[in-house]
Amino acid sequence: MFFPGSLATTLKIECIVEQTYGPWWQSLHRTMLRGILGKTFRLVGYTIQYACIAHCAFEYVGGVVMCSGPSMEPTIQNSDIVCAENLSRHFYGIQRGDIVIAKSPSDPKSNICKRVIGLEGDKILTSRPSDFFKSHNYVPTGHVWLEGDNLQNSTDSRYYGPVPYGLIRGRIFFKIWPLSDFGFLRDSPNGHRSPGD
Amino acid sequence: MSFMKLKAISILLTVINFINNNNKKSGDQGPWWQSLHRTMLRGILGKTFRLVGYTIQYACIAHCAFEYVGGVVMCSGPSMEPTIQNSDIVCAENLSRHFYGIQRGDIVIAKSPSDPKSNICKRVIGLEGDKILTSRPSDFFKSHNYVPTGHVWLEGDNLQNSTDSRYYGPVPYGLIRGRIFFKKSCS
Repeated sequence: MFFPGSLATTLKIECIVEQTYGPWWQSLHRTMLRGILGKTFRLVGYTIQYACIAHCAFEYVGGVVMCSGPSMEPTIQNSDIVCAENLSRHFYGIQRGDIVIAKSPSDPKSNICKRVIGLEGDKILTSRPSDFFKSHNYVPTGHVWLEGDNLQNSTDSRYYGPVPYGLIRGRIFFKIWPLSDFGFLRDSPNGHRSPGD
Repeated sequence: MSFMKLKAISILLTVINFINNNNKKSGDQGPWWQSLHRTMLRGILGKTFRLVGYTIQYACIAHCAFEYVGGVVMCSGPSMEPTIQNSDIVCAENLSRHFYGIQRGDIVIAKSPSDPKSNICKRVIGLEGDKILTSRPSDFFKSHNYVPTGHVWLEGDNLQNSTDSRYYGPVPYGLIRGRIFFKKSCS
């Protein structure tokens, strides 16, 4: 007795629904679409959310970077994987002798990885060791002087001049690949080049 | 979704803990107010972590919005008069910078080359490769400079009272932060 009554009610409701909303497959289609749209928006929302958090983590905390090029040999070889941290840059704690990643002054789309030889106000020896007359330059305010460890094969501040501090993106402090060279990075093999040291 | 799960788990743990404490003999866990205190502390800790988590989440989203889309900036200084007066409110967008769409004549915000903590607001006079007249109009011999690759030449509109590329040289493109495209006129 219970079931026929409920069946009748269901059929009656279905008739009413059909009159108001059209055939049953149309309302099913609408509900499915709304569900899919809702799910898509939610997925996009979550993606944007986590992309923003990941981006901020990479920019403010640090990340893993692969370096390419011969200009920092023997400290960092080609295709080495290193860890960079970005906190020193924001707290203006970059020191002489640090290896930093910076945006290239001659190509804003690429990054360079060099050692900080001089900070603002330092006197840098810019002449080649083979020159007879030594020439010095002072690093202007807000700039740093970058040089690669592999002096013969490095395009650095000796070529494009002092680099503004605002281009520095992070400081490399640890190498994780290759495993034979795992650990903190060595000091510069070239000794100290500014008389201020 | 993960924080709702965390909330559900923490509530579940609180309830289970409280029931367990009530069911055990009082000699094992101590007086009832001690177990209540413990569950309250756990609830507060959970709420604190959730609040910190939400704050970090929305701070990251806001930061990315300001950096990749744009924002409202207040300019100070006389170097862009009469285009932008002191204490004007302007809207800056950052999409042009990322898509390398900065043109000659755009007003850009950039990090100052002489002071990384402050920003400058100047007009782009020349892009890389352009020939810039660097001598003063009163000079007899005109001198030109070429803007090197990856740099731009910035000058303020108020040439008599502006420290710009004529003083510190061409500015690397990487220092540009955004392009000003709208000024809210106060009058």
